[in-house]
Amino acid sequence: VSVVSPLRREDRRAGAHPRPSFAAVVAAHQDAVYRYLVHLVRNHHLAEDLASATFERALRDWHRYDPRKGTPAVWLVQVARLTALDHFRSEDRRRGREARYAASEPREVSDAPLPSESSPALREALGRLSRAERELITLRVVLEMDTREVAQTLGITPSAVTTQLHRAMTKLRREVTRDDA
Amino acid sequence: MMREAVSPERLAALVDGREAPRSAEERALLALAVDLRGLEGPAPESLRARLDALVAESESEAPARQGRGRLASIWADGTRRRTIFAAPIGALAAAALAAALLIPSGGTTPTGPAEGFKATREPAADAQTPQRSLAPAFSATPAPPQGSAAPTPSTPSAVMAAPVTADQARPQDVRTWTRVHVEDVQALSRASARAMTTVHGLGGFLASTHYSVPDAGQGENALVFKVPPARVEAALRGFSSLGTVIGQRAATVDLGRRLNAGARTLRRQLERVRQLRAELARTPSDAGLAARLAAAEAAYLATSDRQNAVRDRTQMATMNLTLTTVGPKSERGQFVGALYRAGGRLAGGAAWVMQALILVLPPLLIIGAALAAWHARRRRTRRRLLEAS
Repeated sequence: VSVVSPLRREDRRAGAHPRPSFAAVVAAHQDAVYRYLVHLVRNHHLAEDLASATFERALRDWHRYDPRKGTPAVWLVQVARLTALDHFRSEDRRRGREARYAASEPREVSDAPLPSESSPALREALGRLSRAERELITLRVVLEMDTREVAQTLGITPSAVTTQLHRAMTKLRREVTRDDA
Repeated sequence: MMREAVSPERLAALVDGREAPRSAEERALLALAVDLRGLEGPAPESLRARLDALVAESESEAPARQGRGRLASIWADGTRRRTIFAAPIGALAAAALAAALLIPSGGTTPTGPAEGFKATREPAADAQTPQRSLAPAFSATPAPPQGSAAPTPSTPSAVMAAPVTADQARPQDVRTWTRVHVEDVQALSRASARAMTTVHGLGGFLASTHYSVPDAGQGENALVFKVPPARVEAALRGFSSLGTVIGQRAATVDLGRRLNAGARTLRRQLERVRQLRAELARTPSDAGLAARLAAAEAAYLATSDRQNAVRDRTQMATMNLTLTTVGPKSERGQFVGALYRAGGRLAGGAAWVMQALILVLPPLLIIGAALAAWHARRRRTRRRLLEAS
């Protein structure tokens, strides 16, 4: 099983972390950012919009990126995370406003399950995890970041990453098994 | 069915590909990870097109962005960042403005002690008599320009602030000591002549003078004048116009009781002389009586001389004037004086910093507390948002 994507290997080979061009960073990491957002928000269209907003924000803040502090992937995921959190926050406020004026109105489902193209059981099980658990699994397993990078991205300790990943994966496995049963 | 537990570290090693699965549970977890990686495909073409347009736009704007300075970049980052950047600067500027308006200028500047009169150490005639130092009234009085006959208007008022006027109704011994700094030896000579002219004009006279010029640049003239007590003030005014007064002292001794006691002694001795003369007239051959009369007459004459001397002291005030080309010296040594000045400046600076901190610290603390509260609230919100499924 190949567990390290070519993009991640390229990042790690950079070694001294020379500052890449923004175009190169976009080309190298747009898939990773998109997959991270899809897993987090569970909506392809929304993930696409958020990915676009993420790269616009990254372009605006590109002068603040310091290669010595982390790889472009970590920095981009941090930007994507802030973008997603801003979206969640605004959605939360919007729902609150709507709930006050129209309690019976059905919820807008940005977190609705993805269309079951493949592995519907796995998608269902993922949907029952919290956003934080999905985020951790996405960063550590799907995007194949190492423990230190995930810790840097989420602002927690590496041991907390290891523990929380174990908890999330165990929960996911339990949910998948339950669906199978 | 009982599952075999997989430790967190073991799971991390499996996910990283550092170790191979050994149990069925580990194989299942690894298969789950592979399924997760294959769950979502790459970014859709529509996103790629949008990002290509963004990159093309960024490359066309790149020169403009590169030419922008750091501050300009921060300023261009949006309203929130502008506010975060500008708020502390605005608070500091406001505090500095308030400090400039509220802190009185020179309020904390340390001042050295007034230069006292130390050159003349002649003791007062009577240890029990009160003495007055006029140094504060004359501290560093500036000399009038050359050719100006009259003293500056401020000088007489300074003299009047501490008048040395003998009480005409009481016999008093008035003595003054004045030290005046002049520019050079030529000025010393001119000031000596002017002092004598002034004193003569006031009805006094020069009792003694000691003029010394040990080298070409420095010199001193110690003059002693006798001046009518009623003219002492006028004489002091004249002395202060000779140069810069660097020290002055005055002493007034009340001689009334001493004169009264002398008069009583004189009367007693005179009575004794008269009595002895009468006895000697009755017995002219008494040699012992003649000798006692001679001693009594001598004692009377001596007492009379002393009484006259005391009375003479009440007739004329003694005014000591020292004209010198040597400026006032600090009481401290050069090194200690420099240390004192440096310490004063340091204390002044520290006081300024403390006052500035008193003004600046509260707004900074409020801003810091507000930022900390904002960050804590943000963390709580993020946690809540991420806990949702």
